[in-house]
Amino acid sequence: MFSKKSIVITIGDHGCVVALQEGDNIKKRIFVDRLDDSTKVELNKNIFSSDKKSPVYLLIDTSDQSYRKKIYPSIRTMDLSKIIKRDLANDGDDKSFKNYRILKQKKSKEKNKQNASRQECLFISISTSKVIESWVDYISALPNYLVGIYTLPIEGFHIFKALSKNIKEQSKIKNRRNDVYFLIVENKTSGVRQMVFSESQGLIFTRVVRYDLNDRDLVKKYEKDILSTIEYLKRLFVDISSRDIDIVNILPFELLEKIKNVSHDELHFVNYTPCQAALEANYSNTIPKNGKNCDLLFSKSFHKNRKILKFSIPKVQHLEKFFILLNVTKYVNVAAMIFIFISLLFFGVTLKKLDEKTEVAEMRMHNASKELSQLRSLGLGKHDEDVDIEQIFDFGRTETLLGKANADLLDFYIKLKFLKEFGVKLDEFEYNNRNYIDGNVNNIDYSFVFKGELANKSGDIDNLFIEFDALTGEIKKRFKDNKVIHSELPRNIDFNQKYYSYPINFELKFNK
Amino acid sequence: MKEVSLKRKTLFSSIICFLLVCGASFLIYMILVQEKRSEKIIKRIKNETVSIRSNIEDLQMKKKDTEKYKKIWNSLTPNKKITKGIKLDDINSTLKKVSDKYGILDPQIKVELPKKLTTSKFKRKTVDIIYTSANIKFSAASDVKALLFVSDLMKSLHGYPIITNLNIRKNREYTRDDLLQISSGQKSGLIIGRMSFVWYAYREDRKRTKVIKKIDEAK
Repeated sequence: MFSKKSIVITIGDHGCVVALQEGDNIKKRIFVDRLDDSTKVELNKNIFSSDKKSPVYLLIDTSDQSYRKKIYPSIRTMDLSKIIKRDLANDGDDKSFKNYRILKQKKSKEKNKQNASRQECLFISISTSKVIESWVDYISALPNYLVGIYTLPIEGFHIFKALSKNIKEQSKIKNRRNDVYFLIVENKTSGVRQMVFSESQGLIFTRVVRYDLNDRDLVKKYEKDILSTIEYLKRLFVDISSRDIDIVNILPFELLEKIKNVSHDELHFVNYTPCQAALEANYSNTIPKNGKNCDLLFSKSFHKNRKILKFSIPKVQHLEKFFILLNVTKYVNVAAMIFIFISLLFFGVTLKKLDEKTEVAEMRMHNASKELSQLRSLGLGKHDEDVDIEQIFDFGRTETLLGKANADLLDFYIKLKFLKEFGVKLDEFEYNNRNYIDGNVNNIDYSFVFKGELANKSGDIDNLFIEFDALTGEIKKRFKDNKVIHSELPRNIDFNQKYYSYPINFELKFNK
Repeated sequence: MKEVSLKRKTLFSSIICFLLVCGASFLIYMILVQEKRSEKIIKRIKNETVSIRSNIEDLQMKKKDTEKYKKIWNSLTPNKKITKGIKLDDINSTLKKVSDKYGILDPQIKVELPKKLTTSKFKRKTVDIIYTSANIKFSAASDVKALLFVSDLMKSLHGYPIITNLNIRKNREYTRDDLLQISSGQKSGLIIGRMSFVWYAYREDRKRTKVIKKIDEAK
């Protein structure tokens, strides 16, 4: 499933090449003249018995193939496909394999309004032959998956693409006006084949020609074949000219030597031997140095690249459904097994993590329990055993609540001794604390009030003011953390009168 | 033949596929169930741990409080441990004792009917807290004697007497006659005192714990 393996059977008029492709290598290759019982035995023995799972592709290189261009108006691709399929179905030929390709619109430098309103389509049909049918029957009977039928000229576009860079490097054409190239190859299965490719559209035209190395008119025939193809192309491309086309030959050395004598100076050639072409296309170990044919090159290129156009026949289609379903279930099985494996791993890891988490939680609980029982065993400490600990709590709480409720009256009164120095004689002292009435414990503030008389020996009003201010200042200084409220000397006091004493009234507020 | 073989292989592969999908689903289910179960267990253990930790904290707090209250208990004067409630006879005898000490001849006291406090602030496990309020009128020879009398009286009463208002005043100066009367014990003095106080006291709760048998000697 994982290594890319396939069996490519190239079928031509002169025989077939069966190549077992694996990765970059051609593991086995067999040339088959005819598919008879002995050949089948040989094929079974050498290829199919050991590779029952490799898919099989039929690559048709017969001469009886037609490539016809048809033009349609420019409409939606979906609608165009329907029209084309209808045309294909209405075509009288029921015995050929038929398919089509919608050609990409070429980007022309000149704005061609006519081109913009039409779609070109290439109709391809391959005549069925007994050879092809016998191969289809043979492979259908084998366990291998017969993927489908392909045509060598269409799939050969990959060879052209692989060589195009080198072709352009070797090309002598300057100011090319089109992207058309000739590719002339020699295959053992079919002989010499001309293929015309457009870089943007793929295969445009192909035909098989015959050359005999010993023919004296070989060069003329070769030249004539090319020129007649060019004439045909002029029907498809208005501005095509022989001097704008590179003719790429992938031919045996001997043939290349002969066609060097082509005298037509408008024809430009780029030549490769099959081995050179294979190396240039990065398909080493495909064709030996003295190899004459390109069958294996096409076979390798077909195996390595994306398939361009598949021809399906009812027999193949019918079995294809089962192959696809089987492959899908196989892939799903693999995915499911991988998923199960990963899930099991994940399950194991998760279980482990959960166990660890549980263990940690249990450990913490155990430590906490241990701590609790240690604390309980220590008890609440020693105390008088006649006294219940609850009682200690009760009395402690009450003491905390009410213990500091009373202010130290005596202490405060003693602090007022300094008033004597100012000549103050107290005749009333009051303490107020309304925070504990009726079970309310507010603990906010309390106050002291003292009233009396301030003596003024001289009787002068000025002295009285001085004494009063001094007294007020001293009280505020001594009780700077408390709020001091006091009566003031009236502003409308009679300045003519003598005041030997004056009443005072001070209130000190304390915050708890 | 090939078709039959393909069908057989496809069927077999599909059965395997189905079994694997069932297996995978079952595995996922098991993982989820196991996770849920374990998480439930862990949650339960964590809750128990939290509860134990809470008990530990309570116990530590209680221990801290115990130390604090033990210290307070040891510092309490015997007066603050008496649990006989508020009785008028006791008040009168204490008042007489203290008044005699400071030469206060006729103190007048009015005491409200004591009541048991039931608010959460005053709810206790082993004792009840009784509350009352009282007013005292008295006269003393001097401001100092008046204050000493008040201070001593408050210290003599058991529980927590709290002065809410105290007013001492002198309306006139002492005359010779006043001094003679004071010295002969006919008069307390010219310093008029008025005091209001509230009183919180303990009363034994016979339904619950044992009575305090010993009274700690003052340190």
